[in-house]
Amino acid sequence: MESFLLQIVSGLAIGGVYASLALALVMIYQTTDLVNFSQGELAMASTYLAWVLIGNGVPYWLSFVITLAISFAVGFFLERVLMRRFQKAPLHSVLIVMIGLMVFINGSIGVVFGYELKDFESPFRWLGGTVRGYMSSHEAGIALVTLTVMTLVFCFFRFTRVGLAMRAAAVNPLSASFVGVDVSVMLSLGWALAAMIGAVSGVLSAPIVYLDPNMMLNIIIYAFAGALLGGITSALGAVVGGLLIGVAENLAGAYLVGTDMKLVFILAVIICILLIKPNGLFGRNVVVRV
Amino acid sequence: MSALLELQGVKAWYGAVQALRAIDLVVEEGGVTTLIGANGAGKTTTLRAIYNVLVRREGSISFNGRSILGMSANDIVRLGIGHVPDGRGTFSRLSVEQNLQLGGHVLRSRKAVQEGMRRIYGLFPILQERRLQQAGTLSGGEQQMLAIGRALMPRPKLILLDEPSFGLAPLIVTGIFDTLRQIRHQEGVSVLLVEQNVNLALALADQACLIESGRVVKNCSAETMRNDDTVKHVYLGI
Amino acid sequence: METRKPALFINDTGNRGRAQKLAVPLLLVTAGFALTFLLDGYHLLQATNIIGFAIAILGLNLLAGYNGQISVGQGAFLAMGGYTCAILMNRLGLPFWLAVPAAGCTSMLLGFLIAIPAIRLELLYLALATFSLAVALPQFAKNKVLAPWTGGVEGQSIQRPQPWSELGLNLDQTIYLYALLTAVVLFWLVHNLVSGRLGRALEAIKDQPLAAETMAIDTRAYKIKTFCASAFLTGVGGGIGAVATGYISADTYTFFISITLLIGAVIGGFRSILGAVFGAAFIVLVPMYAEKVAHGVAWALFGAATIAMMWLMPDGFAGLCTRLREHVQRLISRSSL
Repeated sequence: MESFLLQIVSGLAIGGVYASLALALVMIYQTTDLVNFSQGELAMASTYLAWVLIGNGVPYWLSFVITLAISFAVGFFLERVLMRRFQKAPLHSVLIVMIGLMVFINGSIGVVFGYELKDFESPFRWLGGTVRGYMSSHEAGIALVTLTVMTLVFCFFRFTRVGLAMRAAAVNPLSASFVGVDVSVMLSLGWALAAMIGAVSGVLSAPIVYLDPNMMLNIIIYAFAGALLGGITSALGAVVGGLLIGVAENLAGAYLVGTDMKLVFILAVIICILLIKPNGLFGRNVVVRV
Repeated sequence: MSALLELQGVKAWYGAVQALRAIDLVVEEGGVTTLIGANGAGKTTTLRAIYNVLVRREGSISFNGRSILGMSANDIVRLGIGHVPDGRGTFSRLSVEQNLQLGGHVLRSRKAVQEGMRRIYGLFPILQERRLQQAGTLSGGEQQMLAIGRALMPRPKLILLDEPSFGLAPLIVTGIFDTLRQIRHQEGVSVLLVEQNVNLALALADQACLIESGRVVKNCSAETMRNDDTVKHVYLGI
Repeated sequence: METRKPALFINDTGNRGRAQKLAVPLLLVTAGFALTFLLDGYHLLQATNIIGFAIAILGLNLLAGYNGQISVGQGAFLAMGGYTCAILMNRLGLPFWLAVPAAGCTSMLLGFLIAIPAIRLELLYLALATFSLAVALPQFAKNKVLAPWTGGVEGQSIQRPQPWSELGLNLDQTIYLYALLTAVVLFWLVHNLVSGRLGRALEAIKDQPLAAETMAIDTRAYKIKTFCASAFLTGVGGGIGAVATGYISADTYTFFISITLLIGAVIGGFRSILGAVFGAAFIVLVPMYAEKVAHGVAWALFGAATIAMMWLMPDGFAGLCTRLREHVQRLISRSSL
């Protein structure tokens, strides 16, 4: 029983990482109906940035903030400069561009930093070894940070003028432009926010999976699963889905399929969701254009 | 009175298909101009051409004496042109209040938005009752009021109204047109009205343009238009 | 959508056009044949790899260019082909020239099983699912239950086949020549397939699925068939690759091999049959040289090339060739006036 609870709690913690990345995916899906395959690699690149900053003596939390700010800017310009060109291109072209972007980031980071695993310190050592025996201090820290980020994101969309405008641009771009919303800026902002939130997931997961150019490959799959489980159109769904997937992964690893088949398990989950309940738990019906 | 909005020789295309061939029209400061014509004549397209959405256009379009040809829709809103699009275009998954807040997107201060909302609730008390409801759950008439209210939020000088009567029961349509008359005087706003219901449109407007196949074929006062034999026969069914 | 020349244009060029059309493939085949005797062992192995990848990419092209579906997890079929070859040759002592077609068949079976759910998915979700498949793929190969067959983490060597010494060929030459012949047959088959009735049906399904349905084209059946054919081709390609390399393991079939195949298809051009050869040459040759500079360079180049390709010439390298040829022809016809 004790170990079962332990699995759940640590699942929730790692689920926080999936939830952030899933939220980043949803953010772009809402505005463009696209799943950004390069989201994980963007997060990975952000994590390297944080690593460089910390390595150069910048205090951890300051590095964290700078990383988020730069990720935001990079996301914004990626949309402006690159994705904008493919706005009217057929879907398969856009997918391929995103996969190309993913490959490009992965390779470039590999060239610059090499492929060996790097240690990434956890900023939560001060929390002590374990919190009441259930969570490692880093897991508690992940939970704390994700919760904060999620709350901020929700407040942004609920209470700010720009947040509301982004939602409007997502649900009805034409009407949004009729009320004076610059829809194209909103699209860029969507990418910017997604890159920023993704960066959170990268920086938080690095102490667990170690830092290397392929660190996000597995995590992005979990984030896919989380976003799909929550319903790819729903931000709240992405968070809940990400957390659930974290728990499910841990439980399946411990009791069902063994740790060496976790990815296969997640693949099965993804396929089941797509076939049985494509709208997920919270998603609205997506109208299929045939 | 001086011309607030002026279109001269406007042409427009959807892709390779030309929808407007020669549109000339004027909306006077404080005036109401209506566009009438059959389905597919180019009425809605004219509004889209003014707003620079979905079409490619040529010709001259000026607002307050200033060309707005190269401007994007969101900049045009800032100049003071509101748009109530065909099909109303309310954000159905957002609440009534949020729809109005979005209407005030171009307003800089929170206070101005609050003030605008109070104004709109004064015009349409029903919207205040329903302010927390999702816009998609409103009745057709209420959605039309919301769309008009949203467009009026930033106190535009001109609103483009696309078929406010569309899909509504006759009684509700009459109500909407009464409100439009009231808004015109209360807000001092000029109106460019596209309307299928020619009778109602001509009763509200002072100027009228008849469009056929993307061309303005007759441009005169609403009064003259009402008495024109062809118009009477074809559009008014008299 | 990419612009496509209407069929009328192709007929216009008449017989001369046909001769010209045959010229490039014939040249390629002749050159390919000559290479058997010109290249040393290492380079011949790379050439065999290119052919293997070309066939695999052809499978991907069929799926993407004609079914309008994108599989990011095509490595699964490559793996199926590879492991089938390994098992058949090691366990049953089957000669490689039988094992490779058999590899195609088992891969096709897998393709059929995957196709049933896959054809129900929209493009985006299929890409998402196959992307996940590509990531999870090594875990299948490492799985303890399957390990006796796959060789698990350590992988397995594949018994070296007998060379066709009666023809005076060594082993590398034998495998290469076999691969070349297989490729010629398969490319010819696919060419006939897509330029015939089936090709038109696929075209219709891709462009106007609803309209196709109303013209009594059984969309579902066609899509499943294309999926199977695609899996067959990629399986054969995987088989050839495995036989040529002589060793496979879970790390042969990582996520990156799936992505590499996709990139090869993009570089060559989805809608082009010969493009598959260009694409395969690209994905084999670029890493050969680029990885000497630094680990990761090839990957960065792949990414940059993919984006550049979609930006500048969305119809791939083959499309560029077509455009260049048209341009030259226009110049010639203008100067002769």
